[in-house]
Amino acid sequence: MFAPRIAAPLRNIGRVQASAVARTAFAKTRVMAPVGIRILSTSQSSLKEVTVAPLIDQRKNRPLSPHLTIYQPQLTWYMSMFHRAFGGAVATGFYAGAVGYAVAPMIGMGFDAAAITSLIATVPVGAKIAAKFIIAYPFTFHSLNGIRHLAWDTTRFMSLKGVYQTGYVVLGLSTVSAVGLALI
Amino acid sequence: MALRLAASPLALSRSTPSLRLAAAMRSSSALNARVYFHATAGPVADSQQEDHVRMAYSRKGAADQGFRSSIAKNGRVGSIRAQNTHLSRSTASTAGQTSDEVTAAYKAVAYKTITPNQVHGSYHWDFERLLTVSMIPLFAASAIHGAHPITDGLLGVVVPIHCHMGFDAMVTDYLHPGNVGKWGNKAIVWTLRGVTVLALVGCYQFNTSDIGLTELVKRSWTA
Repeated sequence: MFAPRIAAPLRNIGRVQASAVARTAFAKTRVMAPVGIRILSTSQSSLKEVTVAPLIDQRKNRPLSPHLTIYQPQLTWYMSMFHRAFGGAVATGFYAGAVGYAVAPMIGMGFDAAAITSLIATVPVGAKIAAKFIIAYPFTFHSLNGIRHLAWDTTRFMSLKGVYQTGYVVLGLSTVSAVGLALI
Repeated sequence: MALRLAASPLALSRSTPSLRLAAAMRSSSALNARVYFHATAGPVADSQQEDHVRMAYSRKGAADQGFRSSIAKNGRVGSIRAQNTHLSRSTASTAGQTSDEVTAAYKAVAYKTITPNQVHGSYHWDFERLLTVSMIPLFAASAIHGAHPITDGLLGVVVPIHCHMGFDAMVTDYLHPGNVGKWGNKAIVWTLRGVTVLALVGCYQFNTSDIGLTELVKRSWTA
């Protein structure tokens, strides 16, 4: 949504007012270079494998700072997390079904609508209702929260109050509709 | 057509934050233009602060030549300052500097820059939202009316593309080149594209040679 910042501005630390003469003298005696760019190289080799490889190895061994585990649980990022997680789960199920149907004839597996429905009919009723709720809730949550995202994209409910109110509405509606769908 | 930074969100002082956001979204219409959002509370008061930045970046390709030679070519430092490129975004907006010029000045550095392409930028965003919005009446029609070749066909196209865009966002966030390497990321992205194509093919085959997506959900749900 937001355009990424390509270049960060330089920070001027301890900049001192100087006259034009002093600035010229300063520039002539020193190489003016922005922080972060080296004019002279001090490494023993110019090969990336020699100079950069130790840094990459260091990064692989470094631990990650705690992030999700230390941030205060809030409706905002929990719902965002579940929006993505549930979306990924439903999409994975959909892809598995669609790709399985496309690939099944090549493997020789019988995978069509009749086989699926007859397999589901053999499952006990209690397990069926529980499974239906487990499948329906991610779908309803992702759909209703998706509508909430679209509302944000029209710049509506873009306050803390709006975010929380719509969040609770989505939580309530998705639970109720998932229970309703499970009982069909 | 370059985007004037005077139209940047922070220049609209009387609008509410949400209006600024909407205006910023709308104003990023020119190719190769972008809207800058930055966190400073007010304009930079000290224009002398920009001298250091100006001298460092005021000549395109200066990083290649080395600053000593660029200063030697330009003579005194004063002549570089005379080029007067405002590189702070706050002063640039008041001076009417376009985002293209600011970007061009920043390009004279020792890293690889990419030309922004709106196909991967705001057009991608627009397409994603349009697709998502279209899913609402599509699912409603499918639920109310039941199986129909047109709704099933559209579902078989729209849902896989929506899933693909979601997975692509997750790959960009969690499986980027910095994490899994340049070739790891390429392999994953192309695998995702292949799987999406397979899903599209599977949906088409199911809709044409089997009962269709809506009817499958209906029958398996009530089985």
